[in-house]
Amino acid sequence: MGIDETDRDKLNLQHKIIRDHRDQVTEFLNRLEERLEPLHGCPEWNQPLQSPLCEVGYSSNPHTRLAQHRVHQNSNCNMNLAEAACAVIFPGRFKVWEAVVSRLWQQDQVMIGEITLTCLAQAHITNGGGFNYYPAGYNNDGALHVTSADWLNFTQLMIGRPRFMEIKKVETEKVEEQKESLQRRIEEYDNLKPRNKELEELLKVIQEKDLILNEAALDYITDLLLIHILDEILYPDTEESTPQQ
Amino acid sequence: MCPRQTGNYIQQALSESRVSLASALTREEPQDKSSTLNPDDEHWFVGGPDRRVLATMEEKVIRHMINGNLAWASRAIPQVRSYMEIVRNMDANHPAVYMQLLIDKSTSLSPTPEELHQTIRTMRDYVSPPGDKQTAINIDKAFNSSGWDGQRTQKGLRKYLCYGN
Repeated sequence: MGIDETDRDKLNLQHKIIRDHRDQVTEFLNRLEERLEPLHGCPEWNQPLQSPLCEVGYSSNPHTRLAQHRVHQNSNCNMNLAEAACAVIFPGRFKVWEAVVSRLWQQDQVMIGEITLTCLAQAHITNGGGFNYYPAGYNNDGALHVTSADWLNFTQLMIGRPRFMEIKKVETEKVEEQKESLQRRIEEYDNLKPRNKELEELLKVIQEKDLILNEAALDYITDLLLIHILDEILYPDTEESTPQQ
Repeated sequence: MCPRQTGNYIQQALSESRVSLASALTREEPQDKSSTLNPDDEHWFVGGPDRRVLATMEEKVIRHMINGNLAWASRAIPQVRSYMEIVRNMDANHPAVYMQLLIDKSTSLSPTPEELHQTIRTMRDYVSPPGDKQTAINIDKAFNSSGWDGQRTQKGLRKYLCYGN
């Protein structure tokens, strides 16, 4: 594609793995078409999608990164091409809107945070939900330059923000409620367990007794039958010989 | 070397099924003292990193990320707007997750399927040179064209299909 080996060497992992952007764009278009197909001929065909096409990513310097996306530099070819195509077909109408949605404050949040939010937003091209063709959580090398002292500082910054503390407080209360509710259920279950054991024992006894009763009943009936037969043999006229008064 | 211990509940879950394992990884098991997973969680938020990330996010923001339009919500819903302003105005070098949406400039709504369908047709043509050469040239010079020689588009190359654009 007209680049020399020196340039190629400078390319990051992403570009080494994804050899052909054309395949990526084609895949994106196929998936998007599949997503839109059921709406064809429906009233929704001419109404804005409830969830616009999206892209989600992590950055250690989000403002710089978003500025790169804005000028289509080292960005996402699906999103850039879609925006450029829209600019040509519908001049001045559409744009790519950008926003920071979450600030991270601990190192282990980097990869998982990007994966979680990318998945929640359905930003992968897989189902036509978004522009992300590169697996979330795989290209976060920028986080390696953030030191432990930086992370500690970010944690302190988050603690210092009343808004986050407010959200945290509500969230913690919810978690506590959930834990209490779970605890109650566990206790209820624990209370039921001995009763269940008693019932199990009782059922065993009943079953055993039931079996004995059945055997006894059978024995009793058999006995009665035998007596009846013997009576018939030994005293054949007994039943018919009603005393004549 | 001391092996890293994994919680009993993780091993138990693995013996049940892969689904159990997946849910166990995101489950809080403070009672399991043999686990070295998330050893520092209790002093801050409980749970794994995913839960801690979500724990500081405005609920309506998460809702609109999952099924909605965050661009529209950040204009229309004060709670969302104020949250977005706070996270935007924090330190420039504070690590973050960001989101981008393709929307209408005036309404903040998505293009319609019909409009996206037109876009798809144009993009398909673009990725299959020679196609409509003039449209390809226009696309390649629509954004930040300074680093791209238009002659390359003439020759059948496409800016958005080349490495690093």
